[in-house]
Amino acid sequence: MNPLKILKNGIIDDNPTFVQVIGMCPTLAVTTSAINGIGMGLSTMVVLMCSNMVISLIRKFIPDQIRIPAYIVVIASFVTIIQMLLEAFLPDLNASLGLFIPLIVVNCIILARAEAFASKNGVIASMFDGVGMGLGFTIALGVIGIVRELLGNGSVFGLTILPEAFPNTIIMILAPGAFFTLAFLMILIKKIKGEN
Amino acid sequence: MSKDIIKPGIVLLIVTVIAAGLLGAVNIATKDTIADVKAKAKEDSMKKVLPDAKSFNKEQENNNKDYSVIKSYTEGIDESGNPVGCTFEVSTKGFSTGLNLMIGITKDGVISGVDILSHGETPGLGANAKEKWKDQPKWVSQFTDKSGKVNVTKGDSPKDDEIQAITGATITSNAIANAVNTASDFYDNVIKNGGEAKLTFSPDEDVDSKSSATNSKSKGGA
Repeated sequence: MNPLKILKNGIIDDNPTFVQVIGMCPTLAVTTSAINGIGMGLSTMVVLMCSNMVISLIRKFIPDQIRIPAYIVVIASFVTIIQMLLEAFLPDLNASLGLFIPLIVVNCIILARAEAFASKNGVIASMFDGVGMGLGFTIALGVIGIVRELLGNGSVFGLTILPEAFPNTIIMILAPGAFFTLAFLMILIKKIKGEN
Repeated sequence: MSKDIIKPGIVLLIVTVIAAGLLGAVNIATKDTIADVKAKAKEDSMKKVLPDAKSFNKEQENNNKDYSVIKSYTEGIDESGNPVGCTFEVSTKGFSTGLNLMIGITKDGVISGVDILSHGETPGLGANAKEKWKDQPKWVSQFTDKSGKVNVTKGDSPKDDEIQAITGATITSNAIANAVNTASDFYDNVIKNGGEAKLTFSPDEDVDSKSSATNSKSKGGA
């Protein structure tokens, strides 16, 4: 398969958040600001890329009946190893991303891509799928984060944009704001695509 | 039939054994470094909240049940070994559990700094305690140079003994102020006087009741 096509598939056609609507838990929980959304998206992308490659490598040895537990073991080990390495050697990065790393284990995008793509395709294609899906997830979380931060806090990436007089809508950074934003963005995307 | 069960079982066993082996190896390789990094982060934090101290005495565990939020305290000393104040490691509960603070208080009872070690507060609300606040570098910088009991207000013009609550995060603000007050109290009553002192004030649950008059502009929620 064409790598560019795989990338585009992950970012646009099969966007994990807006089209497949998977990985909702971190999507709703961490998108309180633009930087949080993008941080979560990028961390997920790295883990997704690595886990897709490993699963694609071992796909021939894993019997069908045990594939799900085997994938979960691979993903959970990966995340734990990355967390320990970050904590030991990159404490600054860990301070800003450490919050998201345990959340990645329970992110169903990773298991979904292992099952739907990596277990049926080669290593290189799986890597591109991981990057594409990861980017799609990052963009989606970034956009939701920008909208929520702008309306809830009057800023984007920590820079105040809206004038002081503009009232901050606190509910946008609370949990309900995530649902509102996601719903409106999905409606918008469907409109643009010309679906009903 | 039994072959269908045994073979996947063995493969899964191999996968988990390899995964466990890798995890163990990485854990052994990183354990000491992680402990060093954490110890260094804690010492940096202690120096930050008590800048007068040139070095620190041995950390003391707190066993006084009345001040159970205080995990440990460490006395800071200057070049000639005279005590200049104390740092307190406090583990309390804000809007969610796991709000860990380092609080520095000089021997005259003046708060010399408050640092957030780790927290689980809501990003965008309680987590703003670590962010820039008005003309202060961080919200917690408001505590610096205050002494005695510090109160939280929702109003726009805090008095000398007051700090402004974080917008939309009264619970976090109160939790941090209570932690600081508890540390001050602990210093005065337990360390300076020694012995089995009891808490001399009652922590505030909410500032709503007493600052409602000045509270017209603030927003609710936590």
